[in-house]
Amino acid sequence: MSHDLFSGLQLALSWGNLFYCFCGVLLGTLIGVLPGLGPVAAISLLFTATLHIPPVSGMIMLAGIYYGAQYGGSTTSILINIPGESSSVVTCLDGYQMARQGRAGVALGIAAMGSFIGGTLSVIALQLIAPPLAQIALIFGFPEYFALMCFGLVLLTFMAHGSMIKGLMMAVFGIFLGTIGTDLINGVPRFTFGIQIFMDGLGVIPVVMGLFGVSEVLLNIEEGVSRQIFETKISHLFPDLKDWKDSIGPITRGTVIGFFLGILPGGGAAVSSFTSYAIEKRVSKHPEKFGTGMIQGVAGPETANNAAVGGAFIPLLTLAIPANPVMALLLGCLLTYGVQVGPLLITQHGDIFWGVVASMYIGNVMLLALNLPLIGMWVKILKIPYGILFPLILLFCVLGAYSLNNTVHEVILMVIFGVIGYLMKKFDYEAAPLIMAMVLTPLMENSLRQSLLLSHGSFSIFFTRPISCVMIVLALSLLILPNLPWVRARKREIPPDSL
Amino acid sequence: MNKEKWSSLFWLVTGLLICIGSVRLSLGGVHNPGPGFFPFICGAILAILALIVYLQSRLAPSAAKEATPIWVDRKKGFKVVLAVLVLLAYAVGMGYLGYLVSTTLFIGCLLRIIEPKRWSMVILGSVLTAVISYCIFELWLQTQLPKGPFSIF
Repeated sequence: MSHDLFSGLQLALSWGNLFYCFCGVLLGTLIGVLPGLGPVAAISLLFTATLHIPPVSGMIMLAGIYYGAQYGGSTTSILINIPGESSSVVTCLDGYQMARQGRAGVALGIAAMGSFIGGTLSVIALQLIAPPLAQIALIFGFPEYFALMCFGLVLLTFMAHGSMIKGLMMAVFGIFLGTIGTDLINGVPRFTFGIQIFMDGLGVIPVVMGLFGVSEVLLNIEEGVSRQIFETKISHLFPDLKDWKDSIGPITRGTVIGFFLGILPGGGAAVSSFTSYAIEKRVSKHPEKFGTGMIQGVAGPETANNAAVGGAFIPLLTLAIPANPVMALLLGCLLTYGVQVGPLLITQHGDIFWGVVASMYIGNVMLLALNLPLIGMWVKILKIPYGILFPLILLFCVLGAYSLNNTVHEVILMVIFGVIGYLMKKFDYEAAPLIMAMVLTPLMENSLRQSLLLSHGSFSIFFTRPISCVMIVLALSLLILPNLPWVRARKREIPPDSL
Repeated sequence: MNKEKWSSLFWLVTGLLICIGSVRLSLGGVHNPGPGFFPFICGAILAILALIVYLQSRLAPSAAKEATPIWVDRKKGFKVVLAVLVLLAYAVGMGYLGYLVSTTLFIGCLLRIIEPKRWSMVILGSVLTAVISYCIFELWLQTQLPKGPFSIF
């Protein structure tokens, strides 16, 4: 049965899927509002609940959490100067100042509308670009896939916040973690130490929940989370004509920047918002006023972080290459659902592709309608002390890990990785490359081994095939680039990836 | 404490151990890679990169002196250790005591030990949390939570 946007809309507009979409975007906004819990942890918590529903419904809800979080993150940035998500860090700079000037409503309004415009336009682009790209990807063979994954991982570590060498170390360690389990070709257990539950591999969900959820709570227990909400009357949520005139340029630029940066591994919402802010400051006639309450400093980044969501789905749904940890987790979810990922996903599981695309249109409308009227509720939730929130977060993490296989082994694994994640943060190692590499490992190893079988053991196959050669050369170039001083300076400004 | 030096040494040892384990699995050859082939490459690259970081840390000792300590406040660091122990005890204890009892104790411990709250809030909060979460996960989402020795629910 062929699928298109019309059939996707029929799927997405069913009562069940509307409900799941609504749950996803509402939970996503809540996640975005609450510091200490990000879309990665939330998706991994709720994934087990989606095992009882059709995969398309599960993906609709989980995707809703991701782009919903981008809407929610701006609320805390503007009202309490603490970003709910890393993609809303730059919104603090001018958004909070606008709140202090009595323009909190305008800031929240333009953030919501910019998010809606960026999110919707990027979904349109996703819908137009993904199917032909999937057709092109069908010519990819094992060498091209292996080279593409190597390039993706190197690009991710290049774009990472800290040291590239440490990012590469985590990527390589993630690949090792991905090899734990039974070797699919030889049937030999690898690094399982006789533990039965490791025979099928470590499992992405407990590892992610530990590295991103539990470790974040442990860090917050140690460092403390205090916030003071700027008490102001929130009115005039709709920007006036002058505000729109000042914002239309940043929104347009933010959409383009966010969409294309979202496609790149290591790009994503955080990098997009930061880049948008930097560009708005550069093109502005009054760059010195940025940081004092410029609406362009809110409109551009908030549009960009939502546009990045649509872009990020392109490599996931066409090439099975996740562009960021959230997409890596969604890839893991698709594999668990039993969905054939890669260029054939659109043809063989068209319901999933078009269902998710259609639901993103609907979800963005829901978010625009929900966000502004519910701001009062989000502010009340923000007032819940962290001392009461963190036990609940840990409980949900435990329940999420337990319900995977109804055993405590995944819970213990999650706690172990929680400690590892906490120590990684302390010693300045990023978890994003690790988790992306871990998810990609089965595909990567298979591609490498098949390539070597094809070439009778010669690594030259990666250089004799043009696409593969280009990817490998680009990856090698990226390994050299960080040593250039101006690149090193720029990288220090980029915030850590969203959790 | 020189964070870079000690962490890089840790990863160096880890990489070497991975290489040793991979050799035991059999590397095969490039014509026909064995199960240890891919992990061996990972272990080798990890060890080499760790060595580079270690050498960089030795070559820049002044940066190490200015580095922030790992744990600024020992008391708060101790709370983290406590939280981890409580989590592990909960994970193990769930199988013996059942979900309701172990969750009540878990939440109670966190509310009382980590960031102390009044006893009334601790008891009410922990019982309510256990009951409500049980209703959501066991009754609504059909997750098979451990019953423990009582097996009443």
